[in-house]
Amino acid sequence: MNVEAPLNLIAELTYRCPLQCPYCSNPLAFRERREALTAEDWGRVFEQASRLGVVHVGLTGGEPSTRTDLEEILEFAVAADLYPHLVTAGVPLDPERLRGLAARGLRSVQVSFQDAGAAGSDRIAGTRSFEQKLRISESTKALDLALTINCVLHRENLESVGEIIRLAEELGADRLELANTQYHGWALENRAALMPTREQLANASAVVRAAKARQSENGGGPKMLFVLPDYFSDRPKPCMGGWGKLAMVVDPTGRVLPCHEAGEIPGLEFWNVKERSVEDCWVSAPGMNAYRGTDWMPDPCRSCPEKEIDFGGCRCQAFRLLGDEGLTDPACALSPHHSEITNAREIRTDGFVPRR
Amino acid sequence: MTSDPKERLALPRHAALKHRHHGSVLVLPEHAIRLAGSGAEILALCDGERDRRAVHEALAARYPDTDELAVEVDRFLTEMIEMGGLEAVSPGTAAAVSEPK
Ligand code: SF4
Ligand code: SF4
Repeated sequence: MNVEAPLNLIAELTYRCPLQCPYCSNPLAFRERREALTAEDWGRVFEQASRLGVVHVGLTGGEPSTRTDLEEILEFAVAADLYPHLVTAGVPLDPERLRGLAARGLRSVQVSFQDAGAAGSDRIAGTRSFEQKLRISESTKALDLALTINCVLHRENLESVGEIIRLAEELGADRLELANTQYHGWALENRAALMPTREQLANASAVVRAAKARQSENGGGPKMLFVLPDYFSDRPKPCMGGWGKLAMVVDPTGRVLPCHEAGEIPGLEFWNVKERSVEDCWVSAPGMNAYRGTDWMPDPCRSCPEKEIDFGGCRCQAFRLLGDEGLTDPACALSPHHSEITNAREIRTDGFVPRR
Repeated sequence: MTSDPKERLALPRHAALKHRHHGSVLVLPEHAIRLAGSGAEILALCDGERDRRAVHEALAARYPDTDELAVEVDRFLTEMIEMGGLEAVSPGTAAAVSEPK
C-alpha cells in the first residue's frame, strides 16, 4: 500500500474544557482517560511529523488553553517549521496570553461561538463565555493573526445564521465556518434534540447564499463555509479527505489516529507516540491501514464511481449506527442501511443533555 | 474568469510556503495545498509587485523553450485564486510577505 505523507497534524492537547456543548466530540468516557504527553513529548511529535511531511498543526483539544504549558508547546511547533493554528473556545484564554502566543509565532486562531448572542451562546455552552469569545476575537484581529469564527449548527441556532454572519463580519473574521452538527460523541447522544428540520436547513442555505451575493457585490467579508449535513444530503462526507491520507490526529494519550473518533472503535489497533516514532504509527499501525485506500470496500462502494470522492464515507458513523465500521456509511442513499439515517432525521425531542 | 495582464497577484496575508521532502506546500490558516511542478516557483514570483504579464515574462525568460507555458501558467494562477491561495492586490496595498525558506 502506498502511504502518502500527511500535511496536517491535529494535536489534541487535552480533553479538558470549561464548556459543556451538547455536541462535543470528546469521547463519552473521556474522564477516565489520562493526558499523557508533556510539552517535550509534543516537541518530539512535531519534529518527527514535520520530517514526515506535515506543514500545519492545529493546536486543539478539548480546550488547548487549559494547558499551562501551551506557550512551550507552541514554541516547539514553530521550531519544527509547522504553521501553528489555535482552535479555542476562548476560555480560559485571555487577551494578554494571546499576545504572548502571537509573539511566539502563532499565525491563526479559530474561535468557536455557540450562537450569535450572549444568551443563546452561553446557554448552549453551559458556561458564561460569550463576552470572552468576543474579546479573544478582537484581540486576534488586533494582533494581525488570521481569524476564523466557527459555529456548530443545530435545531436551536440554525435560525440565527443571519446574525452569526453579521457577528463574523463585525469582528472582521477572515473565515466563517457554519458547521452542521456531525453525530459523533455527545452529539449522537443528543441527536434528537439537535436534529434540524429540512425547512430550517433550506432557510439557512438561502441566508448564506444571499450573504455571499452581497459580499461579491461589496467585496470583502469573511469567506463562508456551509455544507448541508450528511443526514440530509444522500451522500456521506469524505472523511478527513481519506482515512490515513492527509490529516493525522494525535490524541491526548499519544495515540496516532486517522480522526478523533476512530480511537473509539474497538478492535482497531493504533500505536502510541510514547512507544514508537510518529512515522511508524502513521505508516504501519494496523488500524491506520485497515481502511486506507479503496481495497477494503464492500459493495455498494466497491463498484461505485464515487469511491475516490467520498472514500465510502465515515467509518465511525458506520460503526456507531451499524456496529460494523467496514460497511458503507449509512448516510449514503446507496447503502442498504440508509433507513437508519432517514428514520433518525424525523425524530425530534426537546432539551439536550449538556456534556458531563 | 478573465485574466487581466495588469492584475497584480500576491499570496494572502496569512499564507506561508513550506518545503518538504515530498515537495512544496502553500499553507493557509485552515488549509494546505500541495504544489506540483514549478508551482512554488510561480507563487514566489507573485510578490504583489509583478503583474500577470511580468510573472509570464519572468518565467518565459527562465524556460525559453516551453510550449504552452503561458496557457499553463495562466491556468495555474486562476486555479490558485479560486482556491484562495492567491489574491489580486489593489494598487497601493503593501505586498504580502511570504515566510523565508
Ligand atoms: S471517520 Fe468519521 S468521525 Fe472520523 S473523521 Fe471520518 S468522518 Fe469524522
Ligand atoms: S456507495 Fe460508497 S462510494 Fe458510492 S457514493 Fe455511496 S458511500 Fe460513496
